[in-house]
Amino acid sequence: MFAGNKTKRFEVLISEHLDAAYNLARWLMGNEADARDVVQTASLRALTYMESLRGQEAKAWFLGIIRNCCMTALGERSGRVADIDVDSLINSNDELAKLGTSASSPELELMRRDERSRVNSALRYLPVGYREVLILREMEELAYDQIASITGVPVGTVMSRLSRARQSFKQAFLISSEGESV
Amino acid sequence: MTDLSEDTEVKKLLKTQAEYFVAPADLRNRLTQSMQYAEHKKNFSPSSLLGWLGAPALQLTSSFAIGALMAFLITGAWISGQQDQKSNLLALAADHAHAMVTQNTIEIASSNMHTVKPWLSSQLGYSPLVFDLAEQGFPLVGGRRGFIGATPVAVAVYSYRQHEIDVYVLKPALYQKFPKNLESMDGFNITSWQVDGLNYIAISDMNANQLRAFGTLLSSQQEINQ
Repeated sequence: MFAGNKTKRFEVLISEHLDAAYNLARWLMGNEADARDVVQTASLRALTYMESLRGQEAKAWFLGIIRNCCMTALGERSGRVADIDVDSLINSNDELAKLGTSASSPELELMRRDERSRVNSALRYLPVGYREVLILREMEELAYDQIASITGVPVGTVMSRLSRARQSFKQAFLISSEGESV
Repeated sequence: MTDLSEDTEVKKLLKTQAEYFVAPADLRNRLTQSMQYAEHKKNFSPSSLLGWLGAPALQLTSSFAIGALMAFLITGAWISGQQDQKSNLLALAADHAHAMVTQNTIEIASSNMHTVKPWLSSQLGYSPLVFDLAEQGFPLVGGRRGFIGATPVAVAVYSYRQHEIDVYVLKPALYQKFPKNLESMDGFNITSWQVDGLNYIAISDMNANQLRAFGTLLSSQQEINQ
C-alpha cells in the first residue's frame, strides 16, 4: 500500500538525516527552541510532499525544506513576512573590521577561549548566508549543485559565496586568536 | 573572479572543531509518533476501504459523509461499540495529528471571527465562541469540522509561531465521555475549559505552559463576551 510505503520512506528519511537537519536548523536559528520548531514544521511538510521525492538525493531534498523553513522563521523573527534576502545579510565585513578594533566587544571575549569555542564563535558570528554554505559544504560535505538547489541560487553563486564565506570565517577566527595576545 | 579552490584549513577546522548538534531523542520520537497517528487514521480512510471493497465508482463528494464514514469505521475498529474514554481522547489526538500533517484540512480560512463563527454554527448546529487573539500572539487561522468517534465537532484553528493550536468545541454530552484530567496525549499538550454550556479542548504540540496561557486568554475573552 502507498500509505505504508510513504510511512516507511519517511521513517528512513528521519532516521538517516534528522541529525543533519537538526544541526543545520540549530546553526541557522541560533537556539534550541527555534531549531526544534523548524525541524518539526519541516518534517511534517516533508511527509506531506513525500511523493515529490523521486530520484533526488533525500538528504539534500530534506535539508532544502529545513533551510526554507529556517529562512521563513528568521524573516518572521526580524519582523518581516517575506522571504529573507540572504545577500542583504552578507555584507557585514565592516562589522567584522569593527570587531577587530574594539577590544571590549563581548563577541571577542568569547572568541578568546580555546580553538573549539573560537571556531564556534567565528561560525556563529558569520552572516546566515555564509554560515549555511559553510555548514552544507564543510560539515555535510554536499556537492556544489546540491548546495545550489538547497539555497536556491546558481552553482557559480554558491562557489563565490563559499569563497567569501571562508575568507570571512578565517578573518573572524584570526581576530579571535590575535585577541589572545592583547 | 574569486578564488574557488578548496580551503583545507577552513574545512578541517569546521569538520573537526565546530559543534555538530545532534537531534534530541525526544524530538525524534515525537516526529515518529505524530506520523504514526496520522497513518493510523489514514489506514481506515474510506477511499482505501472502498478500493478494497471494489466499489471505486461510489462517489462520496460530501466531505461530511466521508468524515462521518471514516469516524464510524474508526469507532468500529478502535472501540468495538464501547464508549471508551481513552479512545475518545485518542481519536481527538489523531484528528489533530491528521490535520497537522495534511495541512489542507481547514475548511474556512479566515482570521475574522465573524466569518469563522457563523460558518461553524451553520455546519454543526451550535455556536462556539471564537475570537481572534492576534494581538496576544495567537492569530485565528480558520475553522474546520473534526471528528471524535462518529460525532462531528467544531474546531477553531489558531497558530502560535510555528505551532498550530486546534480548539475542539464539544457539547457536554460528548465531553462527559472524555477522561477527567486532560493534560496530554502522547506528545501533544491539552488544556480544557467550559464556557456558556460548551466545552473547549485545546490541543497542540507547543509547550504546556504556553498552551495553558492560551487557554486562559481565550476562556477569559469568551467569559467577557459570551
